[in-house]
Amino acid sequence: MTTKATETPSELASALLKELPGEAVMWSAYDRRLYEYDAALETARPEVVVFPRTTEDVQTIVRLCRELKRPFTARGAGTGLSGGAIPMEGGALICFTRMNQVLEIDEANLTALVQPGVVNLHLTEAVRHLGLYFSPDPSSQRASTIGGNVGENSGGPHTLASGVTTNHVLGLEIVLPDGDVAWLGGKAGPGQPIDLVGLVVGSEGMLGLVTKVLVRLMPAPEHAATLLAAFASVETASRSVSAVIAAGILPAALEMMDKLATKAIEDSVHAGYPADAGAVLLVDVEGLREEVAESLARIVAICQEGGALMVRQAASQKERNLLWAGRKGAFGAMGRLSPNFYTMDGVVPRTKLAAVLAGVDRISAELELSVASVFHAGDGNIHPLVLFDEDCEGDLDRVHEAARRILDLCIQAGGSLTGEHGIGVEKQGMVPMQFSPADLAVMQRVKQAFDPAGVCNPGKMFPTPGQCLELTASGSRLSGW
Amino acid sequence: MSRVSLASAPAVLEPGSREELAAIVSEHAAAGRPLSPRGRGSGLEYLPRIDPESTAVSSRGLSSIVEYEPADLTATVEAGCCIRDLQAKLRECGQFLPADYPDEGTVGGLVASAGDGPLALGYGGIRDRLLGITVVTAEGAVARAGSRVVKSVAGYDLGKLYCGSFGTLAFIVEVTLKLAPLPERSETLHFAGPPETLDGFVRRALASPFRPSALVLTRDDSGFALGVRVDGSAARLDRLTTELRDMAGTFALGVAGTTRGLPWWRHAGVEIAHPPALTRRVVEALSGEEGELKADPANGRTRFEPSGSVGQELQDELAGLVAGDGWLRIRADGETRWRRTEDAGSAAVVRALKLALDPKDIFNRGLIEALL
Repeated sequence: MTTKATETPSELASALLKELPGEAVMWSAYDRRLYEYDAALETARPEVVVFPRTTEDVQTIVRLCRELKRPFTARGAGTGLSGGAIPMEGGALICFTRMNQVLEIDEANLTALVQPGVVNLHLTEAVRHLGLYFSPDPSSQRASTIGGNVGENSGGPHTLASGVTTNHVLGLEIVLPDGDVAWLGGKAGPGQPIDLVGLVVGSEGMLGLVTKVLVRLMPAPEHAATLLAAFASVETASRSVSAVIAAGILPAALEMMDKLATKAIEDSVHAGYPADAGAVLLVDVEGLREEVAESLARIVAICQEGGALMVRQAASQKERNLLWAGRKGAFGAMGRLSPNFYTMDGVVPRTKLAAVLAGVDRISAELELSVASVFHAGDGNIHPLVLFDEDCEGDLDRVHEAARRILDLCIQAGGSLTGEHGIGVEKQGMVPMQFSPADLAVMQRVKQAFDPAGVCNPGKMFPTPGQCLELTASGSRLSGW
Repeated sequence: MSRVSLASAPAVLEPGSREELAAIVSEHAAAGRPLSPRGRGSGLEYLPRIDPESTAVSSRGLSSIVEYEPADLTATVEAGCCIRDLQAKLRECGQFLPADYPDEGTVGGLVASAGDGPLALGYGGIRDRLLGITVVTAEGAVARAGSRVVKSVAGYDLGKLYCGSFGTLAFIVEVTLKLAPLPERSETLHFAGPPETLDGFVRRALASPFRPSALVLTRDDSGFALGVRVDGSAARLDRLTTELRDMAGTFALGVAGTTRGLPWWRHAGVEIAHPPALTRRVVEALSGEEGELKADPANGRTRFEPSGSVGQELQDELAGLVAGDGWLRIRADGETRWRRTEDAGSAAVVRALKLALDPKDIFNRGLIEALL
């Protein structure tokens, strides 16, 4: 399996082995290759992979990296889609999977204190008997860690009504890039002394290494119901989405799948979706029984007025689970359509969904690419899945071109480059489409205040000078948002 | 007016455009002269005194609603926009900004002070509603963060950093906010009883599916009362009211009355941030003091306007209660100060940020140290 007999650990690996147990340090070529990727397209090989168990272990790793002038990058489960956990400049890759303890459940304050390696869904499982749950539910929640969710400010289908990760984090323990430990926020709120918690959540692991997370727990709703609505086209479905939001109804989740995605899911999961529809909406409504019934009736009426071909309420919990299994299994089902696919992530105002999705169709037709869409329609957070074959010459170039054009469309519509996946390595070059040099200069200063030596997850988020030039030259930079 | 002469500047400068504001800030930066950002000044008396050499600069000349798309439930407004004007505009379209902030205050003041209140329980706090922000930096550059859409993780979330930093890091000029539909109905149930019983009821209600939109505990001559605001459709309210009455009944609490609104959540001379479950002990500590007391037992805030002065012993007791998690802001003898147990790590970060973003310490000079 490994060739350790003929290999020697690097200086950093040797130093780590002296201070941490052998099982916490992986340095063979084989092991390093295993950790050169996450769920994004890019790869970079770490010099050494380390598995801390305590905050003190993390401080030790940071101290040794500093002494040997090596960078370090945090990694949770490696499910990130923008390359946040890829060690672009080598050094130590710090895997938090062994820091996976729920340290405290405080029923009176409705909080939980967890280590960053706790798997998202495991936290909800740990508090379910109390009638509580942890709200953010990224599609990767069976694998992704709370620490990773904090790094990327993860969303998910059920963030429409209850908010994304940052809305549920009250406090953090963080090992700063100089090795010191800081406590940010607390049960009295995240703004202690000022809202550094809100700054660190979603900072893509570039400001420090989070070693404890204090999260808010929510009481489970009394009742939940799921509605399936089929439409002739993405455009008509989008109009109904806008109409629901405009009517002041805030479902717990409001998801859309286009025809290509629906068919692939149906063939794979047999979720009970109408495979001949142009678009399918999946709507979750939660709350008291009475309000769920009311909201459902209003949503059904809006969909019917909007020309729905069919609207059906799941008759049982079993059917609800099946409908959601389809949605959550969507990415897995894409393998039926194409050897590879590229998951995009952009956001548009909800009133512009129909227009932007028509634009996505136009772009994919022009570039002769197939695009399946499975996305958080209620948030205006689109996820076009661009299908391709990496063995096919030129395919990947066209995919990148489609991505650039689609995100340009989102920005033109007043939207954002990313709703929940992050900039990471993936979208560094596109950042100037959304932010001016003055905007980025402030963010650079924030980065330098935390990490003057530039050792904490380097090579992320900020455009490199070449990339910046290229996009400015192509005229993508807007004067607006 | 394109430039302001510092020598002949009026007491409060009111730039009429962000370019003009940027020019004022640039001049102050060049001269190393301090500047104090403000809205309409409604919350200033509750802040520590800043450097008396500071030029007061108000955002009230920047007061327009830049973009409001009701169907997107978002609005982009300038910092000097009066809360009352914004709410009036939103109400026309059946929406509102849930934020319990004084009507005469500004949107910028609300954001800069993170001054929202009990409605954060049902609607999220102002930090959670802040989607995008435009500021003038300490060098006079206009810089943005966030976006105008309801979900974005592009770039650092500087809005949260600025929100609640009391104008110490940047001058807020524009914000994009997530709005809420006006509830079809809104009612507040009042329960009277001893604070420990009310607290038991509060903890039970908060952990149940029957969570209200806001809670306020008040004290008057006849004792303690808990206001429980419920929002929503008629059917939701009927059910929620029944459930909460029944739940209160198990604590031998009865409904003392029903009103439309909540007790007003106004500024007070003493404000304490504490873990929610500590409300009872904070309220008990204030039991011997005359004055108006309001507590938010869901979000962990207590506000107290003392009739007289607050003695050193009580100040120390309150500070001791929130040592390690929370803070005390107290106005005594004409001085306002914050008391919290400084965490060396986070204080170092705040100082480094201040130095990075405002190297000449022109924005509210001295205030950042008071926050630590």
